[in-house]
Amino acid sequence: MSVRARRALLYALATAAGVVMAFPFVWMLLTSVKSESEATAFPPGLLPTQWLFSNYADAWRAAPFGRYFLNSAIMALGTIALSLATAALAAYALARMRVPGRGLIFGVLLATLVIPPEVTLIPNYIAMQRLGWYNTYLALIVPFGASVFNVFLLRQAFLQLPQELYDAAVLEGCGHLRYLWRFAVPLSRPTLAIIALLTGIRAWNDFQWPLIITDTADLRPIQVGLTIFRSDVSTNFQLLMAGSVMALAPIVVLFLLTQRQLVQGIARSGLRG
Amino acid sequence: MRARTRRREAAQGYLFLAPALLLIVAFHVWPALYAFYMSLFRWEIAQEGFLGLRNYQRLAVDADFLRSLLLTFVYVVGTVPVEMAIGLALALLLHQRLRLRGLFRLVYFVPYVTSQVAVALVWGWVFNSSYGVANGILVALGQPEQRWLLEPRGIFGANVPPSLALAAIMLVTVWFYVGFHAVVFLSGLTAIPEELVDAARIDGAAGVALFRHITFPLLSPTTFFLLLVATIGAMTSFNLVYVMGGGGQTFGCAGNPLGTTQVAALYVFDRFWCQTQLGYASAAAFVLGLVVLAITALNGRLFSRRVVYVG
Repeated sequence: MSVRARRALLYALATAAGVVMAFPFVWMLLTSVKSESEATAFPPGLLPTQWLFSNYADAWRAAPFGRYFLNSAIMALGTIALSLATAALAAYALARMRVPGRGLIFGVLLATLVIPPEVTLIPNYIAMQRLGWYNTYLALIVPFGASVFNVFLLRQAFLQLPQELYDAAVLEGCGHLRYLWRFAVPLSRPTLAIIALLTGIRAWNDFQWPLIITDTADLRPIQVGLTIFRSDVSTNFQLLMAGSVMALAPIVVLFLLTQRQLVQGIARSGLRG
Repeated sequence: MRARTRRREAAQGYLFLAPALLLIVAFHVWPALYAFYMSLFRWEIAQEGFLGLRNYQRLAVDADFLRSLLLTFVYVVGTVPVEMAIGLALALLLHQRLRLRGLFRLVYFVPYVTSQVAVALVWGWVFNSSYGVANGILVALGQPEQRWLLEPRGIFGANVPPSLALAAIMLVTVWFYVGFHAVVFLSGLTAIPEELVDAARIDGAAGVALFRHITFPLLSPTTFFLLLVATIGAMTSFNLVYVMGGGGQTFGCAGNPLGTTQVAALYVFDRFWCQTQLGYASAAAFVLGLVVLAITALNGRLFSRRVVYVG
């Protein structure tokens, strides 16, 4: 095969794969602006004859989406803040401080990675009720406020900071907390940004835990709200697709803005939801 | 004097570690132990009598539970190798220095960052048995329509799993994770030292031979890692099955149609949330946890010896 034909074949394959991957999203967008009769026509037409962007307003009015978004934002930002704080402190101790039993602590942290969420789900549910956290923001944020992945990633970043910088700071009488806050954290900003993004995306998309731990619309995050919305609109598929678009949009936009760093971060850390 | 500063540093170190350790022990380690404790009791809404291992004895003959383990096995075997193979193929494609490579990578990867609930709703609509575009395509090709997520019949035979419903969910699973595999494989490919590939080329290796004897072995740490995380993830997969099971008209605790999509994670959730048998569900969760651990260890034994590390 000539080099030219080979290149053409590669592009054809890559494009075909791209079409298959993107198709569900395209179909979602197209359905979301169709009229009810066009959405439920069979066999379905590809493009709407009339682009009804008003479906979005209708969907927005049909459920407390504003509240759902606010709850998801609080959950995501709260988890990011707590997770960054706990990870920075722990990662620093593991990277820079002489703590007896460090190896053991490291091992315990590693072992927790193989505990599947199904196992901890029921006891955590009981714990939330006993703590009086059931149906509160605390239950949505605190249990995920420390991530072993984040600690490991950040420890790696701290280990890469030059030893001379640390020695010089100590010589100047700089304590650990001050060194962490003034030097280690600002110098590890790229890693911190990736951790914040991944943690935020994870929290935004989380479903099973908020499903069992929230009971009222004023606490429900968007993913749980979306499933309730589905039961409400049942056969209004154009509204359901508009709601799905709204639930996806913030993350997809965030992803498009940060994809270079994010994809590299995921490739390195190997997170899987 | 030195001993005292060292003691002070140790104390401060523990203080730094305390918040993270406290949260991880409280919400990850302790619950795992507490799940075992709960599994020893009759525990519905509240804790009742001590049962010893009787919940486990009941599980051993519970047809629904055994079916859920079988379905989980089918789900894992039908998704993990497929998504890894396609992911690797896409990574090799992207590794060819195509123009627009960034765009392709982006498109393949997007599903992975989106919410599984929303994409499950979208796919539920694609597979809708009355108005779905999947049937629209079948009709255009002159094929009979299918009931997709409502079809309990097996694709290889009437009562052989997976049902068409579970197979459709497996397809969505593959679609969701393929980009993740592609991206991780691509970073593995980029890490292979070019001298090695060039040297093999000079020795006359090319095409399939080059891939089989050089690229694939050198990629094995990545492959092994992906196999581990994908298997663990698939064994405990919940969201897609819960939202799509039974065509998504009713919520999927029961793993509709006819329980043919009730994988283990869904079975646990069903007994816990929909039937409020907390003790019994804990026993099932604990068994699932042990199976995950065993498979992880087995994967390690089977494959880690074939992994080649460079540098």
